[in-house]
Amino acid sequence: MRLTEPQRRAVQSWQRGDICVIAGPGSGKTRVLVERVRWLVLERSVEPERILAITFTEKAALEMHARLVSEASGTEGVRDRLAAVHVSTIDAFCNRLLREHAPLAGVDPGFEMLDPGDARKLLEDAVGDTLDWAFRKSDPRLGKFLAAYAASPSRQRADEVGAIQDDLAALVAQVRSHGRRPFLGSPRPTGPARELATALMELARAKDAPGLLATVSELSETARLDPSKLAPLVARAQGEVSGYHKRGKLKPLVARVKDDLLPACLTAAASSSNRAARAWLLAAARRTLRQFSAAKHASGRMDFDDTLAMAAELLCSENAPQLAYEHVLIDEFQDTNPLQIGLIEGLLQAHGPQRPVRFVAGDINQSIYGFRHAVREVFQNYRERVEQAGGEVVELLDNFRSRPEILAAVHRVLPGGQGRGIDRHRLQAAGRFPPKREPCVELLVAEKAGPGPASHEGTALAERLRTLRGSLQVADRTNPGGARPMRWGDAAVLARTHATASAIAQAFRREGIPCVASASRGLFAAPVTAELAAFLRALRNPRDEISLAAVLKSPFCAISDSALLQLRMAHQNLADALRPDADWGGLDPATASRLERFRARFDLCREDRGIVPARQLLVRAMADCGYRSLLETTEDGDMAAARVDQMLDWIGLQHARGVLDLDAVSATLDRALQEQPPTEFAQAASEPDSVQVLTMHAAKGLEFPVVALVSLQRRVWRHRPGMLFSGTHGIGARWTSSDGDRRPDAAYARIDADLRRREDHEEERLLYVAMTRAEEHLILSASFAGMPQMSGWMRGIASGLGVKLRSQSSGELEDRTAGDLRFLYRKTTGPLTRTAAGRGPVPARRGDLLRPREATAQADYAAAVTSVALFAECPRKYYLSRQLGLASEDWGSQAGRAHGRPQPGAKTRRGTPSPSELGTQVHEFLAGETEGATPAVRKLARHFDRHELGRRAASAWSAEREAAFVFSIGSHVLRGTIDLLFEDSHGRVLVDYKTDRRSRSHLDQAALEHATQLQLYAAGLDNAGRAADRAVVFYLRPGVAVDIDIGTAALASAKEQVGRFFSAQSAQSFPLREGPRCRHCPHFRNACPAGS
Amino acid sequence: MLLIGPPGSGKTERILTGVDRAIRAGRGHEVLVLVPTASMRAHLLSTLARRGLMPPTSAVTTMSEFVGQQAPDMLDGTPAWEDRLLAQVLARSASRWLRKWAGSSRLRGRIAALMRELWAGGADSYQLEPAVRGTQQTAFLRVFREYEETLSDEGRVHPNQRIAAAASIVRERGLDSVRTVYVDGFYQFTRQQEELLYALEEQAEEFAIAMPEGLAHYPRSASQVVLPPSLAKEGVRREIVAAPSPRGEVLEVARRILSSGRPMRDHAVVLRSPDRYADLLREVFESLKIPHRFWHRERASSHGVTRHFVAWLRVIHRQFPAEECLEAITSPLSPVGALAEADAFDFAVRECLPGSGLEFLESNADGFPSVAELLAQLRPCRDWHRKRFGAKRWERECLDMLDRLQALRPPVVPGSLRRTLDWRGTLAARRALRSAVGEAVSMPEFKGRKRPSLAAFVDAVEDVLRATSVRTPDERFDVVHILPVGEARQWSVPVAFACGLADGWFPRPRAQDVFFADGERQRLQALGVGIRTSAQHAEEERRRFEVASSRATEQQVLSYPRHDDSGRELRMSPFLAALGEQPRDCPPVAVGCGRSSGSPKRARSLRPALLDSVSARNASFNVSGIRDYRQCPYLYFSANTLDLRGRPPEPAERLDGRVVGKIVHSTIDRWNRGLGPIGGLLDKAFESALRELHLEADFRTERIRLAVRKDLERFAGRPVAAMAVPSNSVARFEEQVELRVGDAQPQPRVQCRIDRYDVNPGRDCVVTDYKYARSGSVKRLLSQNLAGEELQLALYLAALEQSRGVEPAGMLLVGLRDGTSVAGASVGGSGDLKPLRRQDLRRLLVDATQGAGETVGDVLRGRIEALPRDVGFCDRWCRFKPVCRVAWKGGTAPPDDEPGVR
Ligand code: SF4
Repeated sequence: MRLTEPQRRAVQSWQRGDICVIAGPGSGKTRVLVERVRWLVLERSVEPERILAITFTEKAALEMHARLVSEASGTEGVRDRLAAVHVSTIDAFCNRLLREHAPLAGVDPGFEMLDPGDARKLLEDAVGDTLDWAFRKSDPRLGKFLAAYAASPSRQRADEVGAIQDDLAALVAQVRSHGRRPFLGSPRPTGPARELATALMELARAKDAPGLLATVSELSETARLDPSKLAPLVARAQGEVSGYHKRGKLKPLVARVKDDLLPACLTAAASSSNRAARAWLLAAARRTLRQFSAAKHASGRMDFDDTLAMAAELLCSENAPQLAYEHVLIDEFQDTNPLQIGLIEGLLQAHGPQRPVRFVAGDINQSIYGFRHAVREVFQNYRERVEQAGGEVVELLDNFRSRPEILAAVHRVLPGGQGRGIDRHRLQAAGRFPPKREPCVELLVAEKAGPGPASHEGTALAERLRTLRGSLQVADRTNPGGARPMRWGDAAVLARTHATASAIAQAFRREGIPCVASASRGLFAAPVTAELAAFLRALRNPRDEISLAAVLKSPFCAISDSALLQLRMAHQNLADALRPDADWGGLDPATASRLERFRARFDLCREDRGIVPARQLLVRAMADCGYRSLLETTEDGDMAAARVDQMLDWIGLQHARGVLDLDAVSATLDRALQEQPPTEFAQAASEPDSVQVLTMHAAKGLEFPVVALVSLQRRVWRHRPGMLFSGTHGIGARWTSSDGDRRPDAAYARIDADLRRREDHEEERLLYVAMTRAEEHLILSASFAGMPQMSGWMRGIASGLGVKLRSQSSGELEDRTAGDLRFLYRKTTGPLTRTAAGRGPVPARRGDLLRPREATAQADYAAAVTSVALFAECPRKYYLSRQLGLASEDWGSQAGRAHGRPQPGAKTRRGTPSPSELGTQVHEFLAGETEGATPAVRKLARHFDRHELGRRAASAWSAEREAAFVFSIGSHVLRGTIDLLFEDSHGRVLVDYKTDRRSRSHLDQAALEHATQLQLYAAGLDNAGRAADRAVVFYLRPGVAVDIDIGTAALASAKEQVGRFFSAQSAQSFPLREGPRCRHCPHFRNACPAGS
Repeated sequence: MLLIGPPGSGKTERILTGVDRAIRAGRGHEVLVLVPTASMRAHLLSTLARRGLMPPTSAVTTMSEFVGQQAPDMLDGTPAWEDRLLAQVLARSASRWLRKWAGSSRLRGRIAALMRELWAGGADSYQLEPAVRGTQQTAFLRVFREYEETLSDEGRVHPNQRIAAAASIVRERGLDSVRTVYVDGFYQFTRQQEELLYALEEQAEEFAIAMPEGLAHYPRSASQVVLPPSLAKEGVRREIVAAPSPRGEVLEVARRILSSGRPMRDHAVVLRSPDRYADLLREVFESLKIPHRFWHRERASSHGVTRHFVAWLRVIHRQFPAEECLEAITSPLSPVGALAEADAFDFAVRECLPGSGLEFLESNADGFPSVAELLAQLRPCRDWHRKRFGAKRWERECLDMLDRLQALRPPVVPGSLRRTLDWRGTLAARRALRSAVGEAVSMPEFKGRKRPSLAAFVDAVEDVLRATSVRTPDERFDVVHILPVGEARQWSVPVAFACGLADGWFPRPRAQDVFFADGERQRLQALGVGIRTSAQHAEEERRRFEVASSRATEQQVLSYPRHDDSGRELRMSPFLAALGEQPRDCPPVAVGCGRSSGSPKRARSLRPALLDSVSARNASFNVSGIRDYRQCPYLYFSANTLDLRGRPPEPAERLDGRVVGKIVHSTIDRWNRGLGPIGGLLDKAFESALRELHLEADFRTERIRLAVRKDLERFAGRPVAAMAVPSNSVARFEEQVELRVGDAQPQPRVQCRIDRYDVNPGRDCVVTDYKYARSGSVKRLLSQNLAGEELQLALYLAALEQSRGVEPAGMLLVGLRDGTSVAGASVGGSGDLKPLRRQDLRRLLVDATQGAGETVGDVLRGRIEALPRDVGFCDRWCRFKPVCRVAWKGGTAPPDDEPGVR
């Protein structure tokens, strides 16, 4: 596509001054930005590293970068150059700047970003700490504050005390977003009491009202002497003038008194009578702020506001790093907040005299981030400044995105103009679309709700989309000029709030329309989540009977209420019913066996909770009892199964944040269940063709062929905390007066009024943004339960389209016109019946289910020869020593205490080696490590040296000592160390030394035990073509050599032993072989049940 | 000789053939193969063994083992020790910035990495000195110098020095019996490693070194053999797959493994960052029973065993804060953790929180003998927080604590392999813990006769644990191998997966170094300082990618997620993009289930056999119970019949509306009886309530007290009753009256506790109930009472009529919150009372009595259906929602409540 003239002007502006691009929706702004970068790099040969492009979201940065690279035609070199352009969000830019210049900024270069949840937690702690501190200090002002502050509990927090903490936290958060040292306000505001007195005097005279006259004189007296006592007098005056009407010649005076002076004085009175409380509030805000920063500093973490502020500070300081950008491009400038503006200013300054060229794109009508403190006036001022400085201002008015009818609807609904949220605008339709006869805009109104308005509306909308999918043709991107039928994936539903979005998504799912909802509150409201949370709580402490009962009734155990009552009757606490000695008399056998299985699983989980992370615990418990099978069979199962995955992912995120202990995870989860934060999740499985459901804010920057805006009638309920802050007015609060009324003080009243205006305007812009997302078809949808309580949006829509919402309607789609705009209108009354809604087939399961494998046997692929020998001696001993790896040291002194005797293998006395140590030393000595050997060692070694075998070995042709080998027997690999292997004229001899204390008479018996080991070595040598002629166990203490049978049969049985060894591993079966030996075994009476 | 070839071109094979020949010729002890990792060593050895050889294990050695053998008495520091030393050096630095962040492990990590890099490049601080410029670099140089000096003062060397020493030892002493040296599996060498290789080459008769093509940086290559890419590789099918999320990726891997029909050992998953995927893989594989083995090591500090132990020490140091202490006591690792007693103790103490100190716990330990014994064992540590022992003594004490506070409970009976593996992990962690405690003693800051505090010692232990990694011993063979890239080099399997190939994950981004940014690095390189530039790093990452993406002999799957776990969008790794193939979306799958669980059912009523128990547990009724039942039978069942109790509430939640209501009622009662001014009475009542709840006054309680006090004073200042009740009447306060309802025998009784009633000489009676509520809700409540939805007042009147013989004439509700409000109705009406017809009142009473009778009857008949009258109630107020399962399909649909919107 060729660039239009204004676009080209924006792209190719080559001058030192700033460039300001006003880009309406769909005007190809991103394209202009991309083209400009390309032009700079390719045509003007600007070094790519000298270009910085700042986007508003990470997603936009990703997309811009991708487009830069992918649209680069030409060689790899060009692509690489374009890829080197720096595209990032402001936050990412600050982050990088601070890390790279950490010494200058004085920060830790490895600082971590504080995630919003943690930040809130820290802030809340700081608030609690401040309140506690003031209380401990018995600050009298705190008492005043607590008594006077008018908290308004929010929906999440029913209790007022909690509300105070929340409000204070919110206040401090606001204060923080205004830079480092904001103005908090003065503690003693005054009101126009004198003006009020004068005006009232005039009024009293005119009306000849003696009562009022008396009040007025008292009032002026008090105003002079003690303004803090004004409140009751002003209230009295208000009562007295309440009978006067704004009529006749006194109208201006009465109006002034009633509308301006009295309210102002009342608020001022509220301020001054609560002076101490207010002073405390200011002090508390300051202290909280300090505590909060200190807490962050201590943990070496920063939040986004910190990085912004510090980066700005760094750039403005005297040792600011010298930056070398030549071009800075900024997108969505209308949504930047004061902190960000400060940063950008600093960024330009840090270039010294060679300032980069600034290219700014934005649209004042699309500023919708006021709640993130964006100030839209900034853009306005900037534009004016650019114009004055002779820079370039380019307006892109062509809209390539939407059909003209849609734009016409936008003009009708949101004409814009003075005193509105939207400036007057001209969107010129410039896109090309296939011709179409049906109207492109429709208004659907549903009256009277089913279970909830949103779900009812969802049903109606689902029906409508289904019809459209059969009939609507949309432009085919792959075939310019052509058209194709609409798919689900073409449609998007935009809602004002997350809650509405999830309700619609729920309704769609019920109606069988495939849809993807990006973020939702659903996870923590889902019954599975509550159930798994109960499971974790029961694991923490099963005496939490509510949770345990929930688990018992859930698919984990699935017992009936009657059984529950029986268990409860028989036990003090329900948890006792899971003790091994519990009495289950009366339970029917089926229930009892289910409970028995549950108890075993539950006990294991309880035991594992110390070492297995919560996520794994849940997975195991679910797998063991087939939890997911229930989800497979229920109607909502798909959704519930997805929730389970989301929940596991969520726990995984907690683990990644260092919340590892079950207690901590469960507590965090319980908190989330209470607060219900919205969560974002990637879908576990891709849904190729489905309707997207998202919030209007999230839709910014996106476009869809078909857009439905839903629940337009809803008025957003904003929880306004009792304290507010603004940069100009400082802190304001609402107070309870002595007669129980809640009154704002002066600052609060002003901030509140400002906010209201701003919010109303922003709502208009939000609708503007939402409507302009549509390319070809726009559905405006609303529903009413009972009497329509209309939002500003709906009023605008109704008047723009000339529709009387309350009048009766046929319930069918009607073709209507407003001016030259044709649109469809339908008003349905009463819930749609399922048949009328033409309910589609229940969607097929989202994908195949993977079934767990049948468990197969598993064994190690390698083992030590000594392990096989140990196994031959006693399988259980092998299991404990080698499979588990339990050594006597692991028992520490515990074992000693438990049995009152030293353990074999443990050091007996300082300096005296234990038998096993002695064994090692002798082996080393015999292998030639003679240094530092003790006399005891030498003595034992001499027994061998003097023996005939020793003498032969000394004069052998070749001798290998302490030789470690690996070899294979069958498919298994064995490791072993041969003590001595020598070869002389009589043959090859294999020797193994033992330092056991055995009497001569027992040696043959002992040799039988040791035979396996030597036979395996012999078998290995055999395989390797070095067969031994003789194998000997040499008992060093008595100095006796015992020959071992290494005949073919013996070797074969040793090999069989290896097979048995590995199959025992597969079966995990290691029976005891009790005997007198046991007393020498380190596991005897420790981990081994033998002898008890 | 230098063997050069791409991965899989048979370099290793050439070397193995050489070894094979030597062993068969009986010269096994003359060969030495040097490899980088222990797993590669094991792999080569077992390959040889499988060929029927019996190779001596010494034939294959890792480089670090070899160096250790050559230079056994050179000490290098452990990572934690070095880190501590660096912290000391930084704290003494002249740079304010470095001093400020000396405590930051992240900064230290970076500096340590930079020093290692310089050493590896053959530069020490003296060589670096001439190249340094600017304040920051100078500051770093000073740290570098001082660190080196301190190191040698301590008699330690850094690992590179050790290698250099090994090289000169090899040159001096030769190689004993070894004649042939092979080197395999390395990509690059530090300067010192190069030195060592030169020495080996000089000493050995035969020397060969295998390296991947392209890099092959071994300057002294005498002869060079370049191997062509093996033909087998050509036949490998490569697929690029995009999944919606990491979970989708892992599911795809699982799907392919399950459907491949091959043995498990034919699969491997290669990861750049195991941390990102380990838990997910473990989760999905475990649910699908796919046996798998992880080849990466995990940090000792994150194992439950070490955390539990450190938690104990912290508890002691912080002087036994009750909550933390409870967590440690109830942990299954503690000696009492397996006992039911510990759970009971936990809740018993939680009732009395907040609290702190061993005495606090002990004072609550009556009736818990084992816990008491454990606490007694802790006695000697009571004053440890202010003790300063020598490090050795701390070690002893800590190990002693470990034995006492952490019970070792190995599975006595062999069970599943899973448990065996868990247990091995536990043992490994426990051993790491023991040695960490030992290692902590030798930390540089405890040198000399320093006597650290417990906190300092625990910090040191924790640092060591963080720097220690453990690997659970596992030698299973027929499993899916999950390998970090570093371990994957010598592997090749029929089917290999590489996951997480997203931009920003692979290549791993490298932050610019604060001292030597890339430009500076180039300058240094030009000056001959061995330091790597980002281009070189990028090249290394590319090589890693090659390894990760070429492990298969038949099918190689490369995948990346389109979103990360928190929903952030991701792009394909540039390496993957460079392959120029379009990714395929993987089909949606989900984890299914092998066996079926019991499916819970929701009952309408209890089994008849249990009705006796029901009546035993419901001997008497009260009005609020009846209200509960009418809201929802199941609510009543859980709260009353089952009488389920949850966790003890947190201290901040204990002073709830119910308690405040009680305080208000008792205060008014006492005030009515003329016991004093209402404010004082309230304060007393409040105080005793706090005591009962084990709460100390704080700003929360204070806020509530102030608000209630204000409200009650307003109430006392306004003679409500006087204008609302019939004239000349006598007031009675706080009376307990019974109402017999229903027709069961014996007739059930409903207990009514009446705040106040007034009777006039004509026996007309008005009943009054105080509510701590705002005027709106009082009005609502009245209309509910008048409409018969709420039975309270009618039941009260009926009870009074039945037992006191009065004539019901009116009802009055007094709301006390935020100013006093009244709402009421009476026959004839007067003052604040709405007029009411006598027959209507009578009707209300009859209906209420009958309604209560039915309710009581339903309870006794065992009706327990979860059938809420107001679904909003379930969400907002009911604690039993998970028990009744009302939220599940097949029951009442979940309420369509939308917070935030009106
Ligand atoms: S949640 Fe609702 S249905 Fe369940 S017990 Fe409570 S009130 Fe009854």
